[in-house]
Amino acid sequence: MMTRRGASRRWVSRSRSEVAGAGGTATPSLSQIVNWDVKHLEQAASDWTMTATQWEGHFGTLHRATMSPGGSAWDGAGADAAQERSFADLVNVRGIADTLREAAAIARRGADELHYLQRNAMSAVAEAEEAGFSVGEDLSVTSRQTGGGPLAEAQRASLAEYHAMNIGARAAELGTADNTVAATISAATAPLSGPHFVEAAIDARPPHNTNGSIQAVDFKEGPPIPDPGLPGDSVGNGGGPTATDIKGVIDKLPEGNKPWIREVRTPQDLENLWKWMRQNGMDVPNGYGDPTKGSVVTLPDGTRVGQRVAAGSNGQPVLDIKLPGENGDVKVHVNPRGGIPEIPPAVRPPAVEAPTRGTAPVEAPPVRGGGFGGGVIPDGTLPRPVHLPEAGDPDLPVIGDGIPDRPDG
Amino acid sequence: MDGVRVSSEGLQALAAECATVSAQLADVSPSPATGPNSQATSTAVAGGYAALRAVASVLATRVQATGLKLSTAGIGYTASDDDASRRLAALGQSLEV
Repeated sequence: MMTRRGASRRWVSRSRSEVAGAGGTATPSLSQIVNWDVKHLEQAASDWTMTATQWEGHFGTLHRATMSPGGSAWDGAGADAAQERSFADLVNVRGIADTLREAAAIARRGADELHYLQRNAMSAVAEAEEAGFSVGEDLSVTSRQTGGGPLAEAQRASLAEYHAMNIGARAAELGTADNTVAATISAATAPLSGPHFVEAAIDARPPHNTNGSIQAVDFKEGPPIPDPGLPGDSVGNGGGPTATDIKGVIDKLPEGNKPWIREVRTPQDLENLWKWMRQNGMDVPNGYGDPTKGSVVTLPDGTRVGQRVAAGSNGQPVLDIKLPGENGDVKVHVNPRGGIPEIPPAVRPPAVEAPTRGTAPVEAPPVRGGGFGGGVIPDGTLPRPVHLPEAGDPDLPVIGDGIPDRPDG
Repeated sequence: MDGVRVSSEGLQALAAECATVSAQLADVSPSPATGPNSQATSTAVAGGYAALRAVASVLATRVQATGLKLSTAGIGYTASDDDASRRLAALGQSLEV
């Protein structure tokens, strides 16, 4: 809808005037378009990715150092507790790092999109100016020519209307995209707000019993933390796949319309693939910024796998897979021309001699240190290997079956 | 109780490493580039940096606490060992009578 303003030669997109009148910034002005900037998004993408890597590096280093403090041997209940604490911290930090990387990816894509839309809007302005029109700060379009009779004037009016509409639409597109990217970044970074480790008070007293005998130093603030993997084993021991396993299966699927899209034949194939991949995963709360959109898990080796209810491109369920060290996500779509994922049979790794543990469980208040994500984490909410029911191996660990998953239980 | 092997020096070294990492975590808070006020993404990005700084502070505190626990543990192990040594020596003296 166009509005003719003041002198008969001036046209402005009505959408622009309405939005501006409402006090919003959905449609930017001419100077805002000209000075549109995406450097803050590009820098955020770079900073957040770098920070995620640094945090993972720090906590990984500390976890390894805890296995052998200062290069010395450390065994006993205190050592076990400290190593579990450092490993739980590492797992938590990996989740945080994934959140940061996801936000960084959104910022990077947003910068590209907004830069493209800005050029689009600028092209529309340039096109109008080349055609003999002036574009005002409010995106109004005015002919620089006069005279020529009623017919020429009508033609100029028609052209002015076209250019005003074109510029207004592209400017609105830019403003809307900016708001959308902003909302997506805010949603992606929201899980970062409020996480706290709950730290028990540090007891500075020497760890003696009243009879003077040596007492194991207690790092625990709660019961032992379920171990999602052996210390030093970055891929966990629950029988779930690693990044390499996943890549092996994904690479065999036929490529879709884009190099980063793979296709499976049916929704059931997609579901099977999802269940297989997520076995060792830890849920990423609100991984898509909206729980109704799907769920995301992070594997111990940093692989991030998400199941979205509907892809933006085709409305079908889709899997998003981010492998460590790879740029961008791989997406798996459903398409009748797709392949059948060659999921390897579940094989439990050979029994591993677990580290020596304390003889008795530690009695402690129902508060756990090492929690992350909005305060105290209730017991039992830390990651456990998730068993694929149809894997058919009764020896695999199953939550709640009461059967110890490891030799030492 | 199963056997205990520990090096107090090792724990102190690890505690020192924790202190270093904690300082690095607290210090790593990149200055955000500020975008134009008229762009909604400027506010969103600023919010992201604020959240990042808050998390960095939490992580730094966590690692610092770990370091303190390790240091306390190292001191405690040494004190226990010294105490046990004194008691054993006293026992030996009493047997000389």
